[in-house]
Formats: sequence, C-alpha cells, structure tokens
Amino acid sequence: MECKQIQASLSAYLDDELPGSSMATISAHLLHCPACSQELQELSQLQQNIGRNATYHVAPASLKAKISSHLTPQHVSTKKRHSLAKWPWVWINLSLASISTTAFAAVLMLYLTMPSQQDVFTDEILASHFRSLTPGRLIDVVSSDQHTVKPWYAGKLDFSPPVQDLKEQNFALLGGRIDYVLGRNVAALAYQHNKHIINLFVWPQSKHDQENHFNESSLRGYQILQWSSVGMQYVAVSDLNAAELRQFCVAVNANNGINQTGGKK
Amino acid sequence: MEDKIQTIEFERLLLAQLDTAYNLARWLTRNDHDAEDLVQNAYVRAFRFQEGFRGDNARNWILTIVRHTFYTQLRDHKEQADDIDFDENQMPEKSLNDTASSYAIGNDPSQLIETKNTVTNINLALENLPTAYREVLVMKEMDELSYKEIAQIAGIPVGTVMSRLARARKMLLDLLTKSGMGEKNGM
Repeated sequence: MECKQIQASLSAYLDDELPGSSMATISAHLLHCPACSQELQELSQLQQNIGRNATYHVAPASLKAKISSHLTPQHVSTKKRHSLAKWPWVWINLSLASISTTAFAAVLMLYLTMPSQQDVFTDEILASHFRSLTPGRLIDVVSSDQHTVKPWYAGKLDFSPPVQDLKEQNFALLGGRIDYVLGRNVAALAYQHNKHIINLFVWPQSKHDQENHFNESSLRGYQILQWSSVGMQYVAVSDLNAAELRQFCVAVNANNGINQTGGKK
Repeated sequence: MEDKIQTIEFERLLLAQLDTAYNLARWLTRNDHDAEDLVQNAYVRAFRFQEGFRGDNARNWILTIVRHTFYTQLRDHKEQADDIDFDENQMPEKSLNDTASSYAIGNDPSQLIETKNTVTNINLALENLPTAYREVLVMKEMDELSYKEIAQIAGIPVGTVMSRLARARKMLLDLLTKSGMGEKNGM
C-alpha cells in the first residue's frame, strides 16, 4: 500500500518537484525498498533515453525565412507602410525644399546685413560724437591753449596726444576730454568751425593698423574722416561738409610734425 | 516609431524561440508539413496579438500560442470531420503505407519490434502517446520546463501536470516493453 503511493510520486520525485517533506519521506523509503528503487531507476533510464535519443525537431531554414521575411512585414508593418506610401510625398518634398531654401535665404540675409567692422567703427565714433554734444559733456579741460590742454592729459592716458590750436585756419580749439572708443581710452579734442563742432579722436597706432591710410565716410549727414600719421590714429567727426572737414584734416597734419616732436620732448 | 522599435524587438525575441516552437508543434502534429503550418499560424497570431505578451518569457508565450493554435485547428477539423477521435484516427488512411509515420506503426505494435533503431523506437513510442500526455512529456524532457511553467502553458493545474507526467512515463515504458526493446535499451 505504501509502495503504491510512493510509486505514484516517483515521477515527480525524479523531477524534484515535490515538497521537501515528501522528498525526504520517499528518499527514506527508497533506502529499504528494492521494488520502488527499481521503479525509480526505470523512470530515470527512460528520462535519459528520451534526452539522448528522442529527436529534438529543429525548424527548417525555409520556415524561419518564411516567418521572418514574408510574415513579419506583411502582418505587422504592412498597415504602417501602406499609410506611409499614401502620404503626399511630392508635397512633402516640395515643402521641405522650400523650407530649406527659406532657411538658407534667411541665413544669407543675416550674414549680409551683419554690420561690417567699418560700420561698427563709424557707429561707435558717431555715438561718441553725439554723447559729447549733450550739454556739459564736450570738454573736461576748457582751454584754447594747447599748452594747457596737452599737459592735462599727462597721467590720464598712456600716451601724449598732439594738441594744437588751429585758430588761424579757423578751427578754434575748445578743449579736451578723455573718451572711450574701440575698446580703449583715447584723447578727444573739440574744435569749433563757425557754429560747427568737430571731435578729433586721437590714439596711438597699433601694430596691425595700416600705415598712412585715409578713409572717408558719412553717416546720417555726419562726416567721418579717418587717417593715420606719425604713429597716431586720427578720427575727425563733424556735421561740417566733407570739403571743410578735409581742410581740417590738412590743418591738423600741417602742424603735426612740429607738435609731435614737441609732444615727444 | 516607438511602436516600430518595440515590434522589431518583439519579433526578434519570438524568432529566437522558433526551434522550441517548432519542436513542440512537430510533436503535436507528428509530421513536418502540419508542424510548419502550425508554427506559421502561431507566429501570425503571436505578432497580431503582441499586446498580450507581457514581456516575461517569450518561449513560454509562443509555446502557449502554438499549443492553443493546435487545439483550435483540431477543434475546427473535428467539427468538419464530425467527431473523429483525433488522437487515434487522424489521417489513418494516409499513414497506412507510410512507414515514417507513427500511425501505421502505432496501430500495429508488432512493427515496433522490427525496428532495431533506438532513436526510431523512442520517437515512435512518444508519438504513440495520447497528445495530452505527449505534450507534457515533451515540454518536460526536451525543453526542461518546470511543472509550474507547463501548467501555465497548458492551462491546467500543477497537480494535473504531475499526474499526467507520471502516467505518460508509465505508458511510455509499457510501449517500449511491448516493443521488446525496453529492456535492451536500458528501460
């Protein structure tokens, strides 16, 4: 009776699928029951027989190909592909093309309207000029005497600007101040010609500035003259007309040599 | 897009289990042609109902579907064939002259004796087990599934898996003994 119950459980015992207590009971029983042991051995040999000899059927390659290539796209992705194919590709292409063209044009426009270095320069000079024309900003040292104005700069700048009164040429020196343009402190001298105010910015030439160049530009009715001479950069800005400002330029340069050597003393 | 990636990943997982699926299908149908059809149908279902897959075990999932597809087809065939006992009488005519088929031999155990090949022997014996017993034994011995996994796949209690396996082994031993090869082959 006991053996019958045991033998009914031997299959699960072989598979190690019984609760621990049952496993122990059967193990104990098997120790002294040759019949049940024999039964277990038969089951174990059958298991080995199946494991060793029964055929494990492997899917033919054709089936794998059928399922992975044929079946997969048809049954899973067909709908998506169909809807994709129905998309109006012509219009999508067209709109994509126009979007990229627009983007290119926009970038090109931004590039072209980007202010050049010269524009930035004239803007800054002009802004400085306007700033100086607000009341009380034009001059810090009020004197028509170049010997008062020039020493005033000593210790305020790292260079000594050439200062001259050009009263004889009808460009009266009003005075000087220190201004800040193009990233450095510069000497700004104010002159008057009739009712017109002229700002003359002076600073030493740096290595990469061109020697003896001359540049004329006008912006919003203002004339800007830019030149270099004897190691100094000059920028004159005024609402004078171009011819008059050129005269001013000539006047400054004419006296320059004398004053420059004087400045270096 | 995410769906697409999920689908591709899912297909990859399922395809990796193709041999396992085919082996069970082959042991259920007992011939290559039906096995291929069954597996293909099962994969169609699997791909179609991929939401049903919770991502825990692709092998057990496809085995469940293979098995379910097999019994669904069987039921449909049965309705058409007007209640023929499938397990014993499926395609009896066809198998008569087909020595490779288990049926001819199964119906006539004396032929087993003539077969000296151990491999053929155990295969034939297995094929002659009723499907309900054969499938649990195949899953247990060939795929080394636990009772719990087999219970889930076959949709039966663990206790039933246990008793069916015990019974299947007993029947198999009897079949092999009857064939006269059991003792010789270490049964």
